[in-house]
Amino acid sequence: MTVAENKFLREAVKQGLRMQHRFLAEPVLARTGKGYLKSEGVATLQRIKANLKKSKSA
Amino acid sequence: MAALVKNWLQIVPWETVVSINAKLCEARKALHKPTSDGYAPAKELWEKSRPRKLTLTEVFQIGFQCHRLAPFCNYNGNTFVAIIKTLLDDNLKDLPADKAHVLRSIAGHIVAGTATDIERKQLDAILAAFGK
Repeated sequence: MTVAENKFLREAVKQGLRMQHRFLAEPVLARTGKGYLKSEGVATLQRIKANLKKSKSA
Repeated sequence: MAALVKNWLQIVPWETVVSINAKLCEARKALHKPTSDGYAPAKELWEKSRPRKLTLTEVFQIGFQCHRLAPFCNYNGNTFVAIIKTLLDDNLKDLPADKAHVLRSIAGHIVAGTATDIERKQLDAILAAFGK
């Protein structure tokens, strides 16, 4: 495995663990044709927009 | 945003996909094991796509198809959404933070199989703004 591939693996695992609570373990999409993903809500986007606004006005 | 058409999956050999799923399953003490029917076709699709130059829409579709084939017993969605979002992270640095967040979110929904028509249209609009 190259250095870049190894770095990607670490980052993807981190990303996956961060959002793991939004997924079901079992293969829902394969069985039903409709996937499952718990909503993240709008809090993150609101925070990003507020930060952008703040940095623009500063 | 840097080149939207490129060999996006080059950096992710199938062994990495397997390792990611193993780590995610381990975290929840879930069984990490290949499935008898989905593993081989998903691996073939992934490896066949790896050297190809792909559009973002194609990358999302491959993630969705592999998720749907369910190569692993558990956490297929978590695995492929994590991969696609990580691929995007490296390439969204030039986008405004809010647009990058929306694009990441829609990508996740497409791969997870929960994207709505409105989100697909929104994705088309975002990609059109970057010349696809």
